[in-house]
Amino acid sequence: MSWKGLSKAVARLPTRLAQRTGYASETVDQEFLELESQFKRLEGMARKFTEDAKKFKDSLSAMLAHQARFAEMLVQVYRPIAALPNQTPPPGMPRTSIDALEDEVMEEDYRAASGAVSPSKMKPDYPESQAAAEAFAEAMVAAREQLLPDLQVIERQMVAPTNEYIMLINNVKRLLDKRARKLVDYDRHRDSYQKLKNKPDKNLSDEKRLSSLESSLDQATREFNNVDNILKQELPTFIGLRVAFIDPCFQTLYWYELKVVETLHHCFADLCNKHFDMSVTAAQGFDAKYEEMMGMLQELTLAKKGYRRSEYAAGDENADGAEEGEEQQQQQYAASASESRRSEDALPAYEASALPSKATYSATPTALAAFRTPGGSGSSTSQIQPPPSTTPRTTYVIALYDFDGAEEGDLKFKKDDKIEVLERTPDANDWWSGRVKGVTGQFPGYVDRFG
Amino acid sequence: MSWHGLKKAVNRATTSVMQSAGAVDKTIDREFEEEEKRLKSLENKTDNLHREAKGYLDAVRGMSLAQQRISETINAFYEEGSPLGYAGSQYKLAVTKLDEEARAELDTNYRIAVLDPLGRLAGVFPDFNEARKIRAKKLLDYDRVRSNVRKIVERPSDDPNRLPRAEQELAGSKEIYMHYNTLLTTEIPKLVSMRVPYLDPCFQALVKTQLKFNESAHTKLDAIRTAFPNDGKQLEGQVEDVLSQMRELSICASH
Repeated sequence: MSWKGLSKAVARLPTRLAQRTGYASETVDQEFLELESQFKRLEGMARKFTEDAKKFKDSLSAMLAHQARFAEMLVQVYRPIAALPNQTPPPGMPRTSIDALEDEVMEEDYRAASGAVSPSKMKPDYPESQAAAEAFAEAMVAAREQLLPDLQVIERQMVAPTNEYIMLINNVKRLLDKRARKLVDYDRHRDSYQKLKNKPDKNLSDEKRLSSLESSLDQATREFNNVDNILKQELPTFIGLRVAFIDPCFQTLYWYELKVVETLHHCFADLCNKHFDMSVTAAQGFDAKYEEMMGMLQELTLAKKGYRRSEYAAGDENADGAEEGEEQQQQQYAASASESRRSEDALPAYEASALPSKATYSATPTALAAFRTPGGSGSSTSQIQPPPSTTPRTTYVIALYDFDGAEEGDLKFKKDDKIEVLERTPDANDWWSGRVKGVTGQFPGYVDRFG
Repeated sequence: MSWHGLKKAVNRATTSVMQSAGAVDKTIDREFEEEEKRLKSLENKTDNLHREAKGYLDAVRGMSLAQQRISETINAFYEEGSPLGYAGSQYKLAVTKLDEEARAELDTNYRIAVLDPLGRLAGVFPDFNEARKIRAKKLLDYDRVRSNVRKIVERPSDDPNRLPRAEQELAGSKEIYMHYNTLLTTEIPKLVSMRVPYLDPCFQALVKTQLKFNESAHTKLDAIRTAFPNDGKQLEGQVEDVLSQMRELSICASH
C-alpha cells in the first residue's frame, strides 16, 4: 500500500469503527444496495460457472485420455506377454537382483528360449479377443483425435471467456470497494462539518476550519458521486449483459457435448456390433461369466493363500509386524509344503542336523502346532508367534479403491484404507458395515480385499 | 526382526556376496527367469489397466457432476422470459436424469464388472511376488549348503559324520527350494494364460457399459435439440462480442 493509501486508510478508520458501533451515521442508499446484491449474486454464479466449466472440460479430456490408454494397455495385455519390451517399472517397486537384469536382455533371452519352451507353457492365442481389443484401441484413439478440436472449441468458447468474465467482475468489484471507501470519506467529512456547524458559539478559528471542512466535504461529495454515478449507470448494463454472455457459452456447451456423445455413441455402437454379442447386456454378460472368472482365480494356489487366510486368520496380520508376518507366511508355506507332499519324515531330518539352519526348519512343526492351538508355544516359537488372542478378533479389509459414499450413512474411505469390519454378509456384493478412522457406516463389500 | 530371521538374513547376505565374488556357485535358472519376467510384465500391465479403468470412472463422475452444476448455474443466470430459458431448464432436466443414470447404472456396472475383477487380478500379484521372494531366499540357502557340501568333499573332514549330515541338509534345502520353484513355474503360466479369458468379460462389460452411457446421453441431449435456436454454427465470436461490450464499460476498466 502506498503512503497515500495508508494515510487514507488511517483517516477512515475511526469513522468506520464508529459506524460499525452505530455511533456515527452511515449513508444508506437502498437503490444501490439492491444493485450491489444483484452483482454479488452474479459474481457467485460466475465463479461457480467458471470452476465447473473448467472441471467439465478437464474431466471430458481425462475421460477420453483414460479410455484411449485403457484400450492401449488392454491390447498389450492381450498380446502374448513376453513379446513386448517392458514398461518402466513404477517407482517404489522393490529392486531385487532379478529386477536389476536388463529388460532388453531378458526379452532376447525369452525369444531365444521360447522355441524350446515346453508345450504346457505355450500361451493359448485368442485372436478374436485380441482383434476386439485392437479395434477398441483404434476406435478410442480415433475418437480422441476426432474430438480434440471440439475440446479446444469448448476451451476457447466457454472456459477461456469465463475466465475473462471473472477478470472483468474483479475490476467491477474493485470499483465497488472504491465507492465504499469514498462513502466513508463523505460520511466522515459530513459529520465533522455538521458537528462544527451546529456548535453554538463559534470562534474565529472555528469559522476558518468550517470553511476548510466545507471544501473537503465538497471534494468528498464530488469524488463519491463520481464513482457512485458510474456504478449506478453501468452496473445494470453489466448485470444485464450476463444473459448475452451465458447464451453462447451454454450453446457451445450443448452442441459440443452433443457432438462428443454422438461420436462416442457411434464409435461404441460400431465396435459392439462388430465384436460382441449385443443380445446380452453388460451386466448379464458379466454375470454369466462371473463364476468362471472367480474359478480361475481360485485355481491359483499361490493366490488362494490370500483368500484362505482372510477366512480364519484375518486378525493375525494386524497383530504382528511385517517381518514376523513374513516369517509366519514362510511357515505356512513350509507347512503346506509338508502337508501336500506328505513327507513328514523329511522334517525330523532337519532337526537332526546340527548346522546353523537347523533352528529354522525345526521351528516349522512346532510353530505350526502353536499356530493351530494358540497358547501352547515352545521357546523356539515364542518370537514368531502372533499373540494368542483372548478377545474376539477384529477383521480388517483393505479398500481397493476410493469410495465417497452414495448416500447418508455410507462409509467414506480412500484406496488402501484399513476398514474394520463390524458386520459382513457372505455375499461380497452386499453392503457391509464397518468403521474407518472412527466413523461407522455402510460400504459395498466388493470394494475391498482381505489382508 | 527375530533371532532366526536375523541369522537367516545374515547367512543369505553372506552367500550372495560370496556369489558375486565367485566363491559360491550361483544357480542360474533361465526357464524361471523367463517366467519371472512374464509375471512382472503382466503385473505392470494389469496395474496400469486398473489405474486407467479407475481414472475413466473418476473422469466420468467428474464430468457428470460438473455438467449438472453447470446446468444449475445456467438456470440461475436466466430470468423469466430469457430466450434460452426454456432450453436451460430442458438441459437441466436432461443432465440431472443422466447423472442419476450414471450413478445407478454406469457406476454400479463398472465397479462390479470392471474395477472389482481388475482389482482382484491385480491383488494376486503381491502373493506371487511374496512366493518369488521366498523362492529367491531358499535358492540362496540351497546354493550355500551345496557349496558347503562341495568343500567337505574336496577337503574331507576329520569328522566322518560331517559329510552325510551336510548332504542330508542339502537334500532338505533342495526339496524346499524345488517346492517353491515348481509352484511358481506352474502357477505363473497358469496366471499368464488365464489373463485373456479372465479379462474378456470385463472388457465386454466395459465397452457395453460405455456404449449404454453414451447412447443414453446422446438420446437425451438430442431430444432437446429443438429448444436451441441454431445448430451451433454461428457461435464463433459471439461470446467475444459480449465480452468486448463489457470491456467498453468504464466500470470494467482496471482500477
